Amino acid sequence: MPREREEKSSRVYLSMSVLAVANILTVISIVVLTIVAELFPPVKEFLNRLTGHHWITKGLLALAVFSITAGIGALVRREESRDPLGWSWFAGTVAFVGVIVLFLFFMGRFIVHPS
Amino acid sequence: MELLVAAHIALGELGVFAFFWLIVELMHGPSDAGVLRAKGAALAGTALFFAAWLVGGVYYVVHYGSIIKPVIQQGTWPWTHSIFMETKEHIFLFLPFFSFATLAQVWQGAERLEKDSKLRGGLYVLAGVTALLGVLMTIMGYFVSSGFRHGLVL
Repeated sequence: MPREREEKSSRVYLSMSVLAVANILTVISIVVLTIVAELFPPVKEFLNRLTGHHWITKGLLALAVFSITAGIGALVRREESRDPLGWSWFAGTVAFVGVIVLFLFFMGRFIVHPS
Repeated sequence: MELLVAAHIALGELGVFAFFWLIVELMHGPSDAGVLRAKGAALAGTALFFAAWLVGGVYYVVHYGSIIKPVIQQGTWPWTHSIFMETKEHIFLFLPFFSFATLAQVWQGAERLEKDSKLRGGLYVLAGVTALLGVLMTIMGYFVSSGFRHGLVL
């Protein structure tokens, strides 16, 4: 493979891993923050006070986590990330685990406190 | 308020459609015209999901809590808010970032899409996850609107 093509290939593969990691950290942040805020009302109140609504605060924090992680990742340029399929499966799996965790959490909370 | 809901649904559904379109374009190792269509589909899908986020957010923050949520909670299907809406509003936050990652990969790897099956494989997964999350939003939205209707007929 010509050198120029190899460098371009590395950049693309790296980007997939960086974006996958950014997505994974964003998903984890949203899930953890949501559950903590639901279990500890002062945390939810704090999120409400920051922007006027907890959901807006979570959205902005998710945007910050994604942007900062992707930005740092793009600067670091890790070389071992040459498996786009594996990284995208990893990110997708974390997303669906996040979906299941949140669904089960809210279902469990409704069963315990149906209101 | 109805216009916001309609716009949110339409933008989201079109976003899902754009990502399925992207998957179809990737299936055959797209040539020049196919790559252009794939880039267009990824760009359109991402823009549509960000717009759905904005419009749905305005509806959720301004109207949902004060008008829709009380009706659902006093109706016969309160679980549609407590389980489905609570889950939906947070899972929705995954969507713009997965769609952006797909967009970035399609545009950066455009010149290799035809021959690089590894890149296309990764994009199938990213675009597929994005589209499936969008479909999940639709299904959960159906439950929430059903809960509202059940609240109204009491």
